[in-house]
Order: sequence, then structure tokens, then C-alpha cells
Amino acid sequence: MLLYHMFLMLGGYLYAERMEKLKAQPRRQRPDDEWPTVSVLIPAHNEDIVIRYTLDAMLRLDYPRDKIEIIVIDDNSHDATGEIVDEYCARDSRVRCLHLKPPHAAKGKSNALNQGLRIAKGEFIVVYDADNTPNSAAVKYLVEAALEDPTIGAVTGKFRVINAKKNLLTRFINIETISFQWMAQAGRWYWFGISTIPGTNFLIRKSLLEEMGGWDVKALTEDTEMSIRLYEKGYKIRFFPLAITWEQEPETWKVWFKQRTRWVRGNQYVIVKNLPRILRRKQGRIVFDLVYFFFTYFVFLGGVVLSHLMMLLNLLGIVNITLPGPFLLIWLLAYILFIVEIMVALAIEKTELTTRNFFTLSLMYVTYSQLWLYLIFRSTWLQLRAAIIREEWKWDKTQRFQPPAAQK
Amino acid sequence: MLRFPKPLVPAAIALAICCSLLAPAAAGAASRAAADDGGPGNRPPRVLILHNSPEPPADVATIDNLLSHFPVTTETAHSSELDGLAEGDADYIIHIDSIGASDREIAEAASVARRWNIPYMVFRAGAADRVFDGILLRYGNAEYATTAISAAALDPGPDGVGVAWLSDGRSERPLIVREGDRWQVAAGLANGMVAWLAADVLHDFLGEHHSEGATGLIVIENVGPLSDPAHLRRLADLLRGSLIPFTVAVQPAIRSSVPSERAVISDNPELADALRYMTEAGGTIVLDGSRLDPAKPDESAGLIARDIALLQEVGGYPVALYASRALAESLAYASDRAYFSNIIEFTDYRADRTRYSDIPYTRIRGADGTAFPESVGAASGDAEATLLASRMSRLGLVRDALSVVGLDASLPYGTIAAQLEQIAREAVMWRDIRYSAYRVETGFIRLSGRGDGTMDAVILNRDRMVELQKLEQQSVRYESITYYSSWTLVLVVAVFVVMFMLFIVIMQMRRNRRLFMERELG
Repeated sequence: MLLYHMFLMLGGYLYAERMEKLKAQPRRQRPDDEWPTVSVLIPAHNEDIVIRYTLDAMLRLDYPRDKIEIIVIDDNSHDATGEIVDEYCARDSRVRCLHLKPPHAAKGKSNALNQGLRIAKGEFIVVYDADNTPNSAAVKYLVEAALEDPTIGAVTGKFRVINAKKNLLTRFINIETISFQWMAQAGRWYWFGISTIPGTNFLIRKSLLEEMGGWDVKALTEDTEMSIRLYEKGYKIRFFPLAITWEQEPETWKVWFKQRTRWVRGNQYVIVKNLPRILRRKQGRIVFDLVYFFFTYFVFLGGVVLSHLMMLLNLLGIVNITLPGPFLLIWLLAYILFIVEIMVALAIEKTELTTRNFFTLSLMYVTYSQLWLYLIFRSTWLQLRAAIIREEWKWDKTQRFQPPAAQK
Repeated sequence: MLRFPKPLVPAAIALAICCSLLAPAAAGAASRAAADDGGPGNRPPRVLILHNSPEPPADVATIDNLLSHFPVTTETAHSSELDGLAEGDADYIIHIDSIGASDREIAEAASVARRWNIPYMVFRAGAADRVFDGILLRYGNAEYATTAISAAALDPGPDGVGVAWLSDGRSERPLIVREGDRWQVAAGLANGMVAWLAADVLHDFLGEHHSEGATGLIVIENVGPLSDPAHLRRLADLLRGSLIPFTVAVQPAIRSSVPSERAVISDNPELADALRYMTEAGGTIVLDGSRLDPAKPDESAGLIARDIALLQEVGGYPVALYASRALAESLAYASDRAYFSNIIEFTDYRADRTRYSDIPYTRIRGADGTAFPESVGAASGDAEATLLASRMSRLGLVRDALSVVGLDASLPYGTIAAQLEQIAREAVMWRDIRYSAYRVETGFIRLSGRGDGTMDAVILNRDRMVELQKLEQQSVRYESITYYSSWTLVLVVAVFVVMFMLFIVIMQMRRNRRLFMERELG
């Protein structure tokens, strides 16, 4: 795992270098009529705190007016989301409203997206969460990246944390998201031509979606699930970090736990559902990726727990490791590597390589990172319990926070 | 009136006389029988070791170890606890005064011993201004040069008799004074030869008069897989030529954190042959456990089992363990117990870089074991050989001294020969420990000797023995993989760390340049 992540980070760095060169090149100005039609889907359930900022950002998108539609799927909101959305619909013809009511509503994000897909007219579907404020060029970048190669089934952009400076938790999350994207997304794309669709800021061909029957309503992480299905169809998922969106991250530990538990459970579902089947089909890259996930959520976790246990028993003098080797040095190097790897990712982001972030990062290893262990155990237990008592999954909506007016 | 038949009267009188005569004898026999059954009359004498420091000083441990030469039990108490004890709680009192207690305090302890009618011995620290530094010790009919002994001033009392004297070259003072059952020693046990002197005096104090006569034991140290077989053969010839039996402390495996430095004795058939040759020349194999860690009894017991299996593979059977006292004691706590009834006690280096034990004779280890403290120590060169000889000579003050001398097999042949020549001049009877009863047991093998030179070797679990033999070989292989792969990992990770640092620097420099350009060129 150590070596693999080093390798991924190297790929991430090389890909960032490539992106820098691409950015420096003069862009070909495509005439407006050459741009394909795009439907932006925004599922929203009780999002009145943030939806206004999101729609403002959508209306600022640099894309031919007649080629883009912004479909807001108001998923049975009980707050003012519906009214705000209607207000925008009335104000701008690009905005379309879809109000879902029971029995078709409140069944999770996948269901809302499927409902949106039903009325979407665009050649490409772009998805944003209701708390996102994309850069104006984001959609154009996503479309351009997709048009370059017909084997690209989906394009994922980069997301940044809008409330990164709010508190220690959001600082941790900010560092985590940056390193995840440059290590796991950029690194995997660079070396293997794969990445994973995140929940937001991604583009997918509508024809593909229709062919696959839309999103899996049972999946808690519909994005990962969709990625696997795209791989299976032989399509690539391209990571294109020039398409940037800013999103809000949990500001309290309670919300963070809830959100991350859902992610872990969702990913575990995807692994268990797909791994046996895909192993049989022997699709190298996907197998490799799924095995990597399997290692992350199961095998590596066991290794980390065992390592912690050994360390504790060793400190208490109960266990003594007699194997020869520079194990303390390895541990120290692993820690240094953790710091340096993430610092590379922060340096790619230019403004993020600060002294404060360095100290946050140093602290992160022994605090935030260790919470993943608890999260995975908790999620595994919940997953097992749900399987035993046949509990139906419920979509836990992530709580939103008041966006700082001055941000972005 | 009751009448007896006439013939019965004389018979009854005769019976009464017989009974009256036999009654005391029967009573005596009964009391002896009770004593043999473990009654109060047969318990070993109890020695109460008193001290007056907050924590028991090192001298308490020394005297305790010296006493383990005798069939006594010991108990340690602070002098303030003496009031809480009753007559009969101790048969002897030894008082360690490590802080320079007042005469009154010493007199009080002595008076308790007098009241209980038991012998009393005190080791006095003495006030600093009354200390006398002596370098010449007179004891019995001989004089011994010693490292400086700081002696307190003693009050011999009206009937006091000097037992040992200390001289600084100009004047002489008593070092040990005896006044009936009251013994006073003017210095602590850590002082020069005081421990050895006390070792001899304890015989008189306890009334245990062991047979007089010095014995010696030679230990060839540092014999292992990397030893030169030819060198070992020459050493064996040298000792056989001097008619000196010896023990060979063998370390069957060298365990190092660097796999390339690891070796086992069975890898070198010539060495195995040399060991057998040494045995034929009068050598007795003991297992070298001097490098094992007493703090890890389980690990040590496991390694001992593996070592014995390796020795057995080359036809060697260790009759004793050559290890520190701490290791020998800690093995009793190992879950997989390694038991050696006999121990040659390896002694750690002292502050002055010499290595010898304060215990100059054998110690009794439990019911069936003996400890042979390395009383003379070992020399690492020619210069120290003289020191060994003089130390051996001084050991002569102990009536049943055991001189355990280590000869370092890693030294050149000439050096060892010179050392041997010097120590062989001493009038000691060299011991062959195969003639001491011994027992060795580690779960898969049981070795025992009744003391007649023969050995019973019973392999209890042959599979386990083979497994242990293989384990050492395997561990070398597996540990090599672990070792080299972990270092490879370190190398690879270090390269990546440096590379990533370089990336960071490049990106930062580029950013700074861009910011500079933006600022300067707008």
C-alpha cells in the first residue's frame, strides 16, 4: 500500500505537470454552435441555506445559453428550497424545476437523479450537489475533455472546499480532498486511465446513462457504483482538474461521521456486489482498482489495526518483536512519506502549501487519519447488522451550513 | 483384698524397671521422629539481616548471596522493625550499617541478640572523620595486599579479640573483632576484599565448618560457530597437558540483527569435531547463555531450547548453564521452562572494568543445584593475567574457596598459555563439574548425572528437537528475507521522499518566479 500510494502520488505530480502545460497552451475557441447540449442536474432536498449560491454560480457558467439547461430536482423539500428554485426558474429560462412529491420523492440522490435524467434533453449530463459553486469554465472544461476521446464515458472535475478555513475539521477535510484527488484520482488516471466518479462536478454521456438504466437506487454511493458499471462497459473515466467546483464540507464531527459512514457503507456495498463478478470477467484495470478498494477497506485495515496493537503491546512491554530489520526507521519514514506526499499535493494547489497546513497535516496522521479505523469498523458493523435484520437503507442527507457570504 | 499370683510379682517389678529405663529413650526417639517429620526442631537456622537504610543497600544482597553457601534461610528487615520481633524469630542477626549509625543504635541491636542468646555480627560504615584507609590485610597467618579498605574505628570491648587486621603500612587497626558471639566488622562488604573475608568468617559465625581446601574451575569462554577449530584443539591439548579438567562455554548460534552475521555450529563440521576433541581432552560442555536477556525469560528459554537442540545435533550435551544469576533466576518464570540445576555464574563488568564475583565459593541452588560464581573472572589480555593470578592467590583466605577462572578462547594461543601458566601455579584442586550431580531439562530433553561422571540423556520429544534444530536454520532464512526486504523498502521510500521534496521545491520555485513576474511585469 505504501509503495502503491507513492507510485500514485508520482503519477499525480506528473499529471499536474501535464495540466500546467495544457493550461499554458492557447485554447481553441470553439464556436457556440459547435458545443453539444448539456443538462446540469442538481438534486436538492431541504437546501434553502445554500441553493441560492449554487444557482447563482450556475447562471454564471460560461456555456452557450441555448446549449445548457439547469435542472433542479426539488426532492420533496420541506423548507424554502422549492420557492427559491421556482424564483430562479421564473427569472432565467436555462433553469428548469422538477418538484418531486411522494411516492416518487425522498428516496435518495440516485432516485432524484434518475427523475432528472428522465426530463433532461442534453447530450451530456453534468451533476452538481446543491452546495456547489463551480467556476464559470467548469462545464466547458468537462465537455472539452469528453469530446477529445469517444471512449471517455465520463469526466470528473476537481472539487475544492469552500469552508476550508472554518475550523480544524474543515482544514483536515481540505487537505484530505486535495490529496485524494491528486493521489488517487490524478495518479490512477495517469498510470491506468481510470478514476472514480465523485458525487459532484462530473459529466457523463446521456446515451450511456440510458443504456445502463440510470443510477442504482440501492447504492448509497451511487457515484462509485456508476464508475464500476462504466468500467465494465469499457469506457474510461477521465479526471480533468481544470474543471473546478467549490463545495461545502461538514463543519461538525457529528455531520462528518454521518456522511463518512454513508460513504464507507456505500463503498463496501459496491465492493461486495461487484468484486466476485468482476474477478470472473478478468477485466484487469477494474479488478486492480476494486482489489485496491478491497485492500483499503478490509485487508489494509486489518494490517493497520494489527500494527497499532503490536505497537501498543510493545510499548507496554507485553510483546517484543525479535525480527531483524529497521522497523522504527520504516515507521518514521512512513510518517515522513505521509507528510511529504500530501505536501506535494498541496504544492500542486499552489496556495495551499502553508505553514499552518503543514502543522495541521502533521497532526492529521495521529488524529483525523486514525478516525477512519473507527469509521470502517462502525460501517462494517452497520452493514452486517443491516444484512442480518434485512434493514432497508436510508439516505442520510448531509447537513448544510450557512455559507460565508464573502467566500469565493 | 486383691491378690496376684506369686510368679507375676517379680515379672511386674521387672517390667516396671524396664519401662522406667526405656521411657526417656522412647521420648527422645519420639521427638527425633517428630523432628524428621519436619517439626520445629529440624528447620534450618534463620539469619536475620538488618539494615538501616530506607531501601536495602547492595550489601544486603551480597550478604544474602554469601549466606546461600550455607544451609540457612534468610530474612531481611529494617532495624526499626527489630522491636516487633520476638525471641525465636531468628537464630543469627547480621546487621548492615550503611549510614554510619551511632554506637548506641548498634549497642541496642546487639543487646537484643544478647537477650535472645544468639550470635550477632555488624558491618559498620563508620563516620567519615574516623575512617582508616588500609591496604594490607592480616587474617589468620597470612597477609594479603588489597585495594584500599575504608575501615571504621571499632570498640573491641574488654574481652574483644582481633580476628582480622588492617594496616596502612605504618599502623594497624582491627578490621574484625570478636567478643564472644558478638562480631564487629569495620567496613562494608563492597570494600576491597571485605566480602571475601566475610565469606570465610561466616563459617565461624554460623558454626558451619566446611572442609578446608581451595578448588578451581576453568571456563573456556567465547566458543561459538565462528571459533577456529584448530585453535580450540590446541587449547584442549594445552589443558590436557597441564592435567587440568575444564569446561567449555559454547554458544551454538550467533544471532545477529544482520542475517549475514548469523551462524550455527552445525554449519561447521570441523568445529563440531573440535568440540568432541575437547570433550575427550577433559572438557565438559556448558551452554553459554551470557548474552541472553534476563528481562525476557520466555524468549531466553526458547533460545536455550534451540541451542541445546543445536548442540545435540553435533553430539554435545551441556551439563550446566553459563549465565548471569539474574537469567538463571528469571528462567523459572518462563512459560516454557528451561531448567539447569547447575549454573556457572557469569559476572558483569565492575566500574573499574574488572570482572569477578564477590561470592568466592559455591552457592546452594534449591534442593539439587549448585552455582559456581565466576569468582576470579576472566582476562582480556596479558596484563590482566597477572591480576587474575593475584586475585586467585588472595582467594586463599577463604577456607573452601572456589576459583572460577575464565579463559577467553578468542585470545591468541600464547596469551592463553601465559594466563594458564600463572594460574596453574596456585595450589588448587581443579574441579571437573561432570562429577557434580546435575540435571538439565527443557521440555524435549532431560540430561542428568549422578556425580560419577556418567550421563543419562533422555530425549523426551524427538520431533520437537528436530523442529528446534530446523527452526534456527529457518529463522536465518526468513529473517534474511525480512531484513533485506525491509531495508529495500527503506531505500525505496527514502528515494521517493527525497524525490517528492524535490518536487515541492521545484513547484515552489516556479510559483515564486511566476508571482515575481506577475508583480514586476503586471
